[in-house]
Parts: sequence; C-alpha cells; structure tokens
Amino acid sequence: MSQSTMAAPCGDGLSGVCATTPDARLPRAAALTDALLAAAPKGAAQRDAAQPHDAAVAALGSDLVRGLTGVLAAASRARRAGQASSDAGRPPALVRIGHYQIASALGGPERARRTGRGAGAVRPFRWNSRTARRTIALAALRTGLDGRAPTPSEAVGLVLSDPGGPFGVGRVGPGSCADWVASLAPPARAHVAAEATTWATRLWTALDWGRLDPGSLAVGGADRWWRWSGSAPEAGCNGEHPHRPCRVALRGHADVRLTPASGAGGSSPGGAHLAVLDGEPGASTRQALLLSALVDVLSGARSPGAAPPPARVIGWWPDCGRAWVVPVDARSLAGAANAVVTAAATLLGADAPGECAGDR
Amino acid sequence: MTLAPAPPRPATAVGAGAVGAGAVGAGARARADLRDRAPDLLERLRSPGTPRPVVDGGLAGGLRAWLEDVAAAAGRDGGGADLPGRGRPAAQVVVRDGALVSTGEGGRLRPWTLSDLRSSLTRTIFRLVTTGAALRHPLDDALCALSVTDRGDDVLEMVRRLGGRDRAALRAFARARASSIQAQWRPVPPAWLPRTGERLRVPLAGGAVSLTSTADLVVGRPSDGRSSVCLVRLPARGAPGVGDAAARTRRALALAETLRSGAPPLRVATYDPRTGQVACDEADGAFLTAAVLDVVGALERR
Repeated sequence: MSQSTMAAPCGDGLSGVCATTPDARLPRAAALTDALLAAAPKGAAQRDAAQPHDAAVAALGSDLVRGLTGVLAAASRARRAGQASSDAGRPPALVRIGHYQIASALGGPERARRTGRGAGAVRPFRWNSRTARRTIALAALRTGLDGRAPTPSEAVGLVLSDPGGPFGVGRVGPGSCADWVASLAPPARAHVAAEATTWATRLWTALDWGRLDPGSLAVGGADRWWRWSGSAPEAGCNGEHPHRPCRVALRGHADVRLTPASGAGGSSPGGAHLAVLDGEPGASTRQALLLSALVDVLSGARSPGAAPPPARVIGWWPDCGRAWVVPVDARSLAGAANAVVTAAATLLGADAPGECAGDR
Repeated sequence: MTLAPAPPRPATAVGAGAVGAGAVGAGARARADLRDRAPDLLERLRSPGTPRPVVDGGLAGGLRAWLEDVAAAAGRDGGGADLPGRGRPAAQVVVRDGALVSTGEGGRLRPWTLSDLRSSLTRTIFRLVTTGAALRHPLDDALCALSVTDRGDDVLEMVRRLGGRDRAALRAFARARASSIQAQWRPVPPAWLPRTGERLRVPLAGGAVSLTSTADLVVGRPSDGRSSVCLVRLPARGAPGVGDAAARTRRALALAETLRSGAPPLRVATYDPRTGQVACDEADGAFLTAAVLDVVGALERR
C-alpha cells in the first residue's frame, strides 16, 4: 500500500486525501494494518481534527444545523407550491442519513441509472442474506479474536448456533437480526451462513490482527448516531401552516474502530475507523467515509466523555482490493457536513442547498 | 494446466464426456464411481503439501499498467476519474468475464428468466454442498435458500407462476444437479477458508472501465508471497463449462484476482455440473497475458 499511495490533488476544495491503490507488497494485510496504525497527523491537521470543545467543532455543528434548517424550509416551500415529487404530502418525521444515503445523493444520475433507482428512492429495510452478513460476520470475527473459533466458518457457525445468545449478533427482539436468523429454515440459514462466512473471511484475512492492541480495538458494535430535530411550516387543509417536526439522524458506521493508545491522551485525536464496502470507490466515497468521523465529532461536542474522533477513516473495497485513507480535519469534516445537507435535501425533496460555511 | 486425472478407472474414463486436455470428466454413468473419489477433485485443485510458485512482485503492477493504458483510451470519452471528489464518467464500460457486456448497464437489474432461475438453483446447490449444508429436497432447499437473497421475491414469484409440468421439470433439474454436485464435491475444510459467491470488480481508467467476474468458490489464504488462492466458477446461464468461452472466463477470473490481490491465484477452474467436467489452469504469466489480450480485444471491438 505504501508503495503506490498517492495524494489526490488538493484543488477544488479537497484536502489531503490519500487514494491507496493496490501495491505489490505481500501480504496485503500488512499494508492495511499499517494504514490503520499510522500515527495521527501532526500540525495543523491534527489541531483541526475535531477536538470536541473547540470553536471549529462548534462552528461545524452550527453550519450543519443551519443547512438542515434551510433544507426543511425549502422542502416545506416546495410542498406548499406543489413542486415536490410524487410522494409529496407530509414530510417524513424521521430522516436517517448513512453511507448509503450520501452515496445515493451525491452519486447523482449515473448511480441512479446504474442501479435503476432514483437518488431519493427509499427502499424499506428488510433482512436478507446480504443485509445480515455484516452483522453476523462481525460477531463471528469477535468470536475468532476471542479465541473461541479458529476459522471464519466455524466462528459463523458458533454465532448462528445461538444468534440471540451472549456470542450472538446482538439485540434480540422484533425486527432484530437475531430473531430473523432464528426464524429461518435450515437451508436458508445455511445460505446466510455462507454469505456471512465469505464476508467474515475477507476481513479476517485483511488485517494483521496480532499487531492491533485488543484494548483499543472495537470490531463492529452498535452504530453511533447524532440526532437533530427541527420543524418547518406545513400547508394545512384550511390554509393554516402548522409546524411539523422533523428529526434528522446521522448514522456513524465503522466496522473496525481503533481508538488512540492510552498514552496519547483521553480526548486527543488519533486512531482510525475502517469501513468495509462493496463494489468500488466512487464520486461520493470520500464524504460517505467521513460520516463516521463527523458523527463522532458532533457527538463528542455534546458529550465530553464520548470517544475521541478518529484521525483518519479508511475505506476498503475487497471486491477490487482498494483502500482509501481519508484524514479527518476541519475541511474534510465541513465537506462531509455539506454532503449530509445534500442528502437531506434529496430525501426531503428540497432544492439542492448551498454549501455550509465551513467548506468555503 | 490440467488437473491430473484420477487414477485410471474404466468407469470414469468411459462416457465421462471429457473435452480437451484440460478436462476432468465424469458423466452420469460414472457418478457412482465419482462418489468413491469425491475428495479427489477438491484435493487435486488445492494440492495441499505441494510447493507453490513464488509471486512475481511486479506482475500485477505490470498487468495493471498495460490495462490502464488501454482502458484510458476506451474511457476517454467518459473522461472520468475515481480520484476523490471527481465525478464518475457518464457511462461505464463493463467487461465481464473477458467480454464486453454493455456500456453503462453493468449494474442494472433485469427481469428474471427461467434460465436465470436454473443458473441460480445450480449455484445455490453448489454453495450449499461446498459449505456443508444438508440437501434433502434439492429444489425446496435451494428455493428456501434463495428466498433470503435480495432477489428472493423474484425467484419465488417465478416459481409460483410455473405450471405443473414446468415445476416438475424444475424439480428433476434440481435433483440432477444436486446429484452431480454432491458426487463430485464435498464440504471444503474450514481451514482452507472457503468463500462462496465472491464478486470481483476492478475499476480501470478511474472507473471508466470495470472488469468484473464472480467466483462461485474461493479457497486458500491470501498470498503471503506464494500463490495460494484457488477459484472455481460455474458456467453462466446455459453456457458450457468447457470450450473457448469457459477458458476466457477462467482467464478473466485469474486476471481480476491478480489485480485486486496483487498475486496471481494458484489455480482457476470452471466446473460444469451438467457434464461433471472440470477445466483448470494455473495462472502463470502467459495465461494472464492472454487474459489481458482478451480485455484489449473486447475494448477494441467496442
């Protein structure tokens, strides 16, 4: 990885993004582990890297809220003018924005054409072998790291033998992955296990786990969220304009989180997030990758005890073997906030908003 | 490279339908005999304990550089780049299994056909067998497994619409495929790190061109300096498992694996459950060069 790591051009508002292309060094796991363990950037970038209480973070949060407020107002205007899309009417009470929504919103017509779905199209979530494989595989990986299973397929078997148990996939209850898996007939469960084993094996073999400190390592785990609530006037049936609340929830997802070593200081930036992604990197990749860092930064501002944000986020695409390392700094976070506003505008049927102030 | 044939046994040699020097054949008449030597196919593919070739550290980079030059010309009209923040080209050229598929249609879902259904059933049965799942009623079990995929609704709806005769034919088809696959394959040992249904997708020229392929089975650890990984592919809808198209598929699979992992696979094979034939190659430099030429030809014919 180091051999062919290249810094992307920093023009057009980009800041030091590293697009890591495959290199000749084998095993590959060593290179990806190096990227995960690399020291936090020094100098201005590090100072910018979202110390939870500084003015930059406060400004970032303000800009994001201002952008989302503007989106709500624009969506409301569009609905009142009858200009919104066919699902016009009441706006959704809750808008969840994660990697997928950002990729869809920023991917534009090309992505929509390739996938056959519009950027604003929302498919209701349901469990299937593809949506469940990550959850199961990460649980299996934890099982393997704990030494309870020697191989990915055996680890997946252990997880699925008791999906709601202590070494299972997590939450139990209606709509949970655990309940869904438990409801499956053996052939379906075997298919899910095969899919999860493939996914788990990729990550299992992607890193040199022995070099990672178990005390600072989190594999999977619950997504982190940052929530905001706003409202905008809506057209009433008698011409009134009651304010209807709308909540926006940002989903910070990372498959592996490496927190700074204890000697680095409790709240100083450091560590890294790794996200395993399907397909290949695209136009929206950089912003979507930064979402997990943005959520950590914004959450940290509200909760001083929260985990410090990462110094970099790494996207890894096993389908094509590529990895991108994106440093976290004020500029990149502002870009991610802009992407969030754009995604919100797409999901709410508003016109494309302007940029957040922080990205100027 | 040809998988070494099984020790001479009259029953496997006759009527096996082997084609070409690179085939290990086993037809329906030889099924019982194949069952006796079921472990052989996987073991011969993997060849545990035998020395493996050292990876040429510059090979993957050289192949990529060659392809990038060609792909850059092919994708110039799109003008895209996958550097962060740059837009993706307006239309992506997709080269699937070494052949040009279409322009910009690579990811589009299309309606299911009966051929798709049969292909999916075959792949699912293969997947269940190689991962050690019990198959009692092949059609029902495979449909149950397919029901939890992202196209499960399409599959079940198609089967629901089938008439009695078609459904009976499908049941017989699934039974035959299961019998053939179970006779020749066994569950892959967990230590060999089996992966099933792996997608390979290598972007070139900043995403203007994409090389795609799928491996139905991958075994072996990622390379640590020696070739290690073996890939197996079942034929696409109705395509033969041997012949020129299958050979091109093997080359494409080996090339995609080399580009994404930095190391050529140890072996790449196609398996046709209709005939029981397995064709296999070692991914050496000449083989991968031929794979690049396939891509070059596909892009030049565009």
